[in-house]
This record gives sequence, C-alpha cells and structure tokens, in this order.
Amino acid sequence: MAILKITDLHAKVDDKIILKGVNLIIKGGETHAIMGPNGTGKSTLASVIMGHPRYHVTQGQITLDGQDVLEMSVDARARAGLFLAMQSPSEVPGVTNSDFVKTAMQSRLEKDENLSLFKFIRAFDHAVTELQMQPDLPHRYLNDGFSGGEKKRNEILQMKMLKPTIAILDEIDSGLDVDALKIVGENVSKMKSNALGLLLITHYQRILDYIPADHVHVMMQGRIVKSGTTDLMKRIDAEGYDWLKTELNIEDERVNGEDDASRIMLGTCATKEALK
Amino acid sequence: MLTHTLLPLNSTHIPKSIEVLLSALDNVIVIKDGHIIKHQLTHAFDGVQITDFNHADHQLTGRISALKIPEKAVLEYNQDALNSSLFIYVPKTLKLAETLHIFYLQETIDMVHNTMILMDEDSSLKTFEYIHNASSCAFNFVSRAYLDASSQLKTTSLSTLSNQCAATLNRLAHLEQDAQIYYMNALFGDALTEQDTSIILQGEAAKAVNHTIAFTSKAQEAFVRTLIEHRAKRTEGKIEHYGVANDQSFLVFEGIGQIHKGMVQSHARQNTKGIVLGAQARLDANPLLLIDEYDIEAGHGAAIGQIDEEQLYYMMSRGLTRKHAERLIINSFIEPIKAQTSNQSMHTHIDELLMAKTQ
Ligand SMILES: Nc1ncnc2c1ncn2[C@@H]1O[C@H](COP(=O)(O)OP(=O)(O)OP(=O)(O)O)[C@@H](O)[C@H]1O
Ligand SMILES: [Mg+2]
Repeated sequence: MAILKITDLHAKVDDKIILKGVNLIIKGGETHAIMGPNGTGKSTLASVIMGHPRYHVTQGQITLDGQDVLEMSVDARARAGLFLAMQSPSEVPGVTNSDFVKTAMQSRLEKDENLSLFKFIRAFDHAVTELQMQPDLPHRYLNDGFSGGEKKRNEILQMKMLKPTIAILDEIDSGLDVDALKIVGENVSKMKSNALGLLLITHYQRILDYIPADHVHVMMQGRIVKSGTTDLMKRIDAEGYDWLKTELNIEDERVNGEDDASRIMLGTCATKEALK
Repeated sequence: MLTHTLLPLNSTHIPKSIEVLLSALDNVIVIKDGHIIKHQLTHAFDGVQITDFNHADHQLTGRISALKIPEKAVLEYNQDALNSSLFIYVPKTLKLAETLHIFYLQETIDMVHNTMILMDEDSSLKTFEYIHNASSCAFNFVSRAYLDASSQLKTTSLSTLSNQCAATLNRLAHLEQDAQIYYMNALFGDALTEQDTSIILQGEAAKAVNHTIAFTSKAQEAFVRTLIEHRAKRTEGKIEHYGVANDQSFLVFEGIGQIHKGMVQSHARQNTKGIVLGAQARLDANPLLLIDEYDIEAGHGAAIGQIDEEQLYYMMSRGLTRKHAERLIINSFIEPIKAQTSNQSMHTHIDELLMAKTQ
C-alpha cells in the first residue's frame, strides 16, 4: 500500500512564496478532496508534488513509501507511482496519443522487457471506449486541438493505462458537461482500490457523488486550514467560504493577498489613464 | 542538343548499406557516377521513357530545356560540366500508381547531375529519390520538371551526403493549368548544403507544396530556399520548412511566396517549425510574402526555439525521460517522410539517420 507524506511543505515560484506549510498524508485506498477559493495554492501543491521545474521547495518534505520524492526527477516520480491529471494539460502537436502512452508504458518496464503491442492496442481501445471518446483518438496528436472536456478525458485515459498508486486530479470536473462528468467520475471510481490513493482538487461537491471522499480539506493562504468529512464540503457548497473565514479569522484567503490587491489598483489606474 | 560525356565508371558495385534498401524495392533506377547501372521496372512503367539525356528523345527533352531558367552560376555550371543525367517522360493520361525509386550514387567523380521529368497532360507519377556519396566530392544536382495541364508529380527526396561533400540541390518546376506538384525534401546528410527550389505556377489553378525537413549537426551549414511564384489565377502554394539544428550547426530557411498582380483568389501559405537543439546552434527563418494583389489569401507562421519546457514537463510527468520526450517530439518531424514509403528497411534507415543527427 502506497503512502504519500507531505510535511511542512513550503514552496516558491520566482521569489514569491506560495505554499506555507502544507501537511497531508494520503494512503492507498483513501480518497482525499482539497477545496479552496481561487489562488490559494491548490494547483501549486499538485505541481510541487509532481516536480514542475518552476517551483522550488524551500522547506519541508515529501516522501512516497519512505522514498524522498523531492530528490527525484519528474519522470522518476511518475515511474515511482505518482500521477497528476493537470488543470491545463499541454498540447504536443506531432506526437500521437498512442505513441505517447506507449512510450510512457514502455518506460515503466525493465530494459530487456518489451511491451506487447497487441495487448497495448487492445487496452488502449478499451479505455477509449469506456471513456466514450472518439475512436480516432489514438492517432490524433496529443491534446492538440482538443476541447476542454476532451483534454480532461484524455488525462483519465492516461491514468487508466498507467495505473498509478497515488493520483492527483486537479479540477478534473471543471469544463465537463453533466454526461461527461458522469463518465469521468465512474471511470475514476472504478479504478479505486487499496492500491490507489486519490487526491481530488475541486471547487464543487458534485464530483464526490461519483467518487466518494473519505477526507475533505480546505486550502487558504497556501496551507490546509481545515480538514473534515464530506459534510464540510456540503456546507461550503451551500454557504460558500465566508463562515469558515470568520471562524478562522482570515480576511484575505489568497496566497499573496496584498500583491493581488495592488495589481488590481494598478489595473484601475491604467484604465483611468487610458480614459483621459 | 542535350548530350554529355560520361566519365569512366570504377565499378558497378553498390554499397552494402544501399543494397539492403534496394533489395525490397520494385521499380528501381540506380545511377552511379553518371552511369545507369540498374534499370529494373515492372510493366506498370511500359510506355514511360526513362533514360539518360544521350539516349532520350530530343524533341521531348527540348520541351523542358526550352524553358527559361534563372541566371545562376550553379545552374550554368550544371549545363557546362554535365556528367550525369536522367530523363523521365510520362505520356498523356498515364497514371502510375507504383513509386519509381531513383538512387543517385557518387563514388569517385564530382557529380554534375541533371534530372528532367516531363509530365504530359493528365499523367501522374510518384518518385522516391535517394542521394548518396562515397568519397570527397562536389555534388551539383539539378532536377527540372515540366507539368503539363492536369498532371501530378510527387517527389520525395532523401539526401545523405556526407561532410566530405559540398552540395547544391536545385529544383525547378513549371506547372500548367490544374497541375499539382508535391516536393518533400529531407536533408539528413552532414554536407555543406544549399538547396534551392523554384516552382512556377504558370497555369490557372495549379497547386504546389514544398515540404523540406532539414537536420543539421556539428559544424555543418545548410541553406534552404523555396520560391513559389503565382503567375496565374486561383493558384495555391504552400511552403513548409521544418528543421532541427544540433551542436554548433547553422540552418537557414528562406521561403518566398510571390503573387503577381491580377492573380486573384490565389493562396500563398508558409509554415516554419524549427528546434534549436544544440547550445551553440543557430536556426534562422525568413518567410517572405511578395504580394501585388488584394483578392488573395496569404499567411505565414513560424515557431522556432528550444523544445517547450511545459511540453517536456507534461510528457515527463507520465514517466518519459527527458531524452525520450525530446525524441518523440523530434520524431514527429520525420513521420511525413516515412509515410511516403512502406519499405521497412527504409523506415529503420530513416530512424538511424535521424538518430545520428540529433543525439
Ligand atoms: N508559475 C507561477 N508564476 C507566478 N505565479 C504563480 C505561478 N504559479 C502559481 N502562482 C500564483 O500562486 C498563487 C496560487 O496559484 P494556484 O494555481 O496554486 O491556485 P489554485 O488554488 O489552484 O487556484 P484555482 O482554484 O484558481 O485553480 C496564485 O496567486 C498564482 O498567481
Ligand atoms: Mg488550480
């Protein structure tokens, strides 16, 4: 059973500190959901776990089954079992979906092992059908010209093929219509087992109708400020974040509240300048 | 009259590496140091004239040699010092489904070669050329094509000229009404190379695509220039320049789409995609549109630089090593060439050529 352990994680981009002490433990078989207003550090946390080169950890640890994740390259993290369905996946024209996933699967094998092409094609086609995607998907270029919803499904398709032990799904529900949400939700839910720990980053409760969560966390100001059960999420869905901010005595929930505020000021001034 | 002397042939031996490629192919012409040493065609090519200039029907060759060509030293030299030639004539309405493979092999001489392809009305032909040298040489290569009304020519060319070679590859095409040409040129060699392609759309609704894919490495320099000139209405031209510059090499793309006044409803498009792989490599692109008419469509896009870090991160986040991710992206450049042949040894060979240029 996999265990991802995040301890007192601080991280910055350029000179801006975004994560300010995140603590979280995810075990195989568990599903965690992280919510939180815009700009509070949720995607940053996901990027730091995966190892995006722009983010730098200044303090704290991440371990996967005791191994130091922060010491690993991005690809080594993936091969160790981490998976991140990204909020905005890249487009890679010229590289087909099927070549990409094939290479990713091959990368998990030993040097002298070979991926069975026949089994691969069968599994890929099966996943395409289960996610109700277009049959020409294997031959289309990776996310190139995909609609928002198609990109999300394609992330889940890769997850199905790569079978991670810890998967982070960053807003997998946004941009999906009701039917697509159901398809994606059911596909993820079907993958649940003791061998998979899930972290869902979301703004809405409805995804949990398909993928029930055991733990719900709220992120503000670059850390987890409250943890609870689905009741917590239900209340936020119904009432918003104000009650929680009052309870926690938080005025501005964003990571860099003042920066953002001054940017808005600048924006207003600039507009006024333009009007003169 | 278009005749030339032949220089003595050392031997008819074909290098092993090329023999491997030849063995699985139908319809093969091999020219070595100016001599046609292999002429192996299926019955599909009955009625097609394929020979050197000395044996060609001069009334037919005259239809091409009468066309004006640009005043350029390399072209003049090609006429004066010619020592290797090939003439192909596809008669009216003959549409050839099978591909004609042409191997140009240099062994001892400085090659001064000229190919002329005469496509008569409503005919069609696909060729696959392979250009190779074995010793230190200058390689002056000219290929001219005349496409009469409604004819179609598709030429894929693979150059593997070594760094012992200085190469000038000139292509000149002239298209009549409704004719279509598709050039796909792949430069895999290490030679100092100048490739210059000029396509003249003389007849209404003629169409041309020139797709060049160039890989440079080490201290190599390569210059690729493509001109498509729209001299008639409703003509379409597309220039695609793809390249990867490795090590400290220097690669230049120049694309010119020219639409003359009155040539309404013509389209001139260009697309340049370049990856600068080597830390000291340089890749320049100069897309040019010379347009003297309003009622047309024209545009060019260019993307040149290092491989996008976001793309690499995305691919690596699925377990691909950086090298693998880069390779997949670079491989995407050669897919269109591989699509031109179903020959498995050729596919393997192209992969190896790419590997040598981009590691
Ligand atoms: N690469 C970056 N460069 C500059 N600022 C960044 C970068 N990544 C994140 N930030 C900033 O860090 C803060 C947190 O961003 P993040 O994307 O983690 O928020 P989020 O909680 O995922 O928001 P949302 O709900 O809108 O997706 C924001 O102020 C954002 O502008
Ligand atoms: Mg986010």
